[in-house]
Amino acid sequence: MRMIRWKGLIAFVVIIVLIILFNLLFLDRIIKGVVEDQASLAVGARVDIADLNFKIFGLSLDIRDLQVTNPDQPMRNTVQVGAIAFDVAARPLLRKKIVIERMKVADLAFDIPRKTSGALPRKLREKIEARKKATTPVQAEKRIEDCGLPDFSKLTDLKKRSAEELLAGVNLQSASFLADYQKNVATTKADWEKRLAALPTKQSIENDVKALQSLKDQRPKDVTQLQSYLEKVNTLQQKVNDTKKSLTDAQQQFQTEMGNLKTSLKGVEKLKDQDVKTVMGKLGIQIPSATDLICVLLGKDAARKVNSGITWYRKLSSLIPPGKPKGEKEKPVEKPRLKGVDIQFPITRGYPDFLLELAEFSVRPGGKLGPDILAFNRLSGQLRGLTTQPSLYGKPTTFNVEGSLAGGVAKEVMISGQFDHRAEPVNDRIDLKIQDINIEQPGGSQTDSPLRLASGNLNIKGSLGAKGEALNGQVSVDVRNPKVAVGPSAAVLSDLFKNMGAFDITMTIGGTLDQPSLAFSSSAVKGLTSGFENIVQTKLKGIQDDIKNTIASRVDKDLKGAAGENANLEKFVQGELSSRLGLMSLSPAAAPSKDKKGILQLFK
Amino acid sequence: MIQQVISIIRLMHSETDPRQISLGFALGMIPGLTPFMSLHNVLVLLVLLFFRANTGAAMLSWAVFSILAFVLDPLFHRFGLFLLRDVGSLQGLWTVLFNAPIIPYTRFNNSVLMGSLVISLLAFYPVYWGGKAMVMKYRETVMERLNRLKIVQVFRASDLYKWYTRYSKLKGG
Repeated sequence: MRMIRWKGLIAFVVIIVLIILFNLLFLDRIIKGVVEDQASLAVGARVDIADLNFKIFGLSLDIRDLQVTNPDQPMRNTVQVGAIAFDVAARPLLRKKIVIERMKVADLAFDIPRKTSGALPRKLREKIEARKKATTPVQAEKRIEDCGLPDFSKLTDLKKRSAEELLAGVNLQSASFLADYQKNVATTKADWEKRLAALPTKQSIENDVKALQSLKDQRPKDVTQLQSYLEKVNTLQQKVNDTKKSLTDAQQQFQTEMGNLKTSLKGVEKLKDQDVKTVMGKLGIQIPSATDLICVLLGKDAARKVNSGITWYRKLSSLIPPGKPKGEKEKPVEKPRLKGVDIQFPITRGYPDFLLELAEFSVRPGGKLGPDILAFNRLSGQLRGLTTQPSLYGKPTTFNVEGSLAGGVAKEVMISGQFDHRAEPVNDRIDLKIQDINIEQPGGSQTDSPLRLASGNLNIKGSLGAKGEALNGQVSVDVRNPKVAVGPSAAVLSDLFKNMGAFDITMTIGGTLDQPSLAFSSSAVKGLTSGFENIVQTKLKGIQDDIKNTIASRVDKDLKGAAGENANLEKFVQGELSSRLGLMSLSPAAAPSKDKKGILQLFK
Repeated sequence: MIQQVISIIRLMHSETDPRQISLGFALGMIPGLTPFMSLHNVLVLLVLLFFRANTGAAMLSWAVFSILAFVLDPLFHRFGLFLLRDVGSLQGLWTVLFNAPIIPYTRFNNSVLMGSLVISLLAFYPVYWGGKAMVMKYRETVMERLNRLKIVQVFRASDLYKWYTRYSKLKGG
């Protein structure tokens, strides 16, 4: 049997040639479809390519009119590119390494309206949903929702209601205190009546004093009676002294108790003020801080931008996985059952699996600023060293952009930074500088914010960093010639923002990528605080005074009664103790001493 | 399916060399067991067409082993993982191949592909040898007995069979 079949070889060549021809004819379309699908999956929004041209012999790829839809607004493109040209290195391609030596991105435009909806097809949407993390990250925007303004319309409503109506159902602390106080005075009175009854009576004191006086008047007839005489005198004297001490102690104790009662009664005035505050608090009139005002003015927009920035950062960052040290094996990529896993072996020479050595981009020239269109006068930049294996490449990914916005909106825009994913934790940084941004938003805002920066001149400078999951950054904004548009819900604040001078805001970004936090500080805080307090106090003053007077009318009668009861108690107990102690003053001098001099005195 | 059965019966009853049938069957096993879109299958196609292997047997074998592969994939995955990850002495070889030109396009580092390719290569000669023996045995025993059956002899002598034979020849069968 002849083993070789030459016709078969011809058939094989024909099959291979047909496959190559098919690829040459339809490769562009195949690549276009794959790029659109994969880019849509990576970005999470629809990516459209008008035309794609792959030259297999020159190893170059040209893409025309690439549109990346805004995931949140399907009728707008986040990015639109007129032309992209790739120069792919041939030798690494033999080793299945895609090395783009140079990429040129021209006619770049941002935030452009689309002609047709860029909503993702259901199939891709389901894939993206499946890729999303099980837990939805808490976004900065949600965390600063607390900085909203109170409902100022309540102020107007309150003026229509009487103070009695506002106080209905409110438990006044001052009234409760007085009710307890009166019970306390009655108890004290009862206690002292018992105590007075237990103390020596006027009659017994008078008897003791008289007995002592008469004993002192009777002198012993001879020395033999002297001993018994002295004992009698001393015993009686001791009794009188004890009586005096017990009365003095009682008097001191009563004075202390009365002092306490009088002091606590003075606290009623404080309780009345407290009652006014409580009632005002229950009416839902919260006074926001000046930091809250700044937060409402710029915070939500800033939070939205931070969230958007974090979302894009996550997408970009996921393209550059943190590297393992050179030579160390990477974990196999898990694939569904029946598809196996790809084991990665150390790359001992050559290039990473994917490397974009240099990308140069420039903005669409002559961009015109239109309603809701972000157009650049000039913008150009470079990106270097974007790779899927940064540890192997050995250099961080760096980028810089420099330009200006069209129509003199911003004279200078500079963004630079680096993504260093060579080792864990990743260390990324973005520096930002925008000079002379002129904001003009005469119409309604996209948001229903009660405060909006309608116009002004801004200088922004900041630096944002991410080390692993931790965020760290600060953005300073100088606002000159600000004009703040005040919405109907915050009309009461119109005067506060009417002639607002230049101010600065510092936004501190912290927390983690999953739970970012924003904090604001501003030079405008001091002026706004006093101004805002004045406005609110003026508006609330009438209502507050009415409430105060009504509380006073309810409490003052009881307060007067309590003071009267105090006085009666004091008069009664103090009078009783004083009269008993007065009798003690009639008692004779102390008993004679038992020494020689004292005894001789008795017989003079 | 009926066409496939008829084809194999005709193949067995034809005068095709049993070695060609078994070679085709063994070659068809490789794309059947391994993932189809792999570079090594181009080589299999070249061998199939260049050498006198029976393409009908290869097609049949591919269909049969594709069904079998669905069941055996978990086994291929485990075996591939063992070879790629656990056999220390092979790590150097894999690393060299991983960094060599063209070889990475074979996706040899995929566990299912590696497991199925090695198993199909190991099974190649037994399948070839077993196939050849089976064809020969069939022709010696079953085919002889069938040919001796009265009904078959009557059928072969009929006009219908003559017409069918003529039609088959015209069709190129």
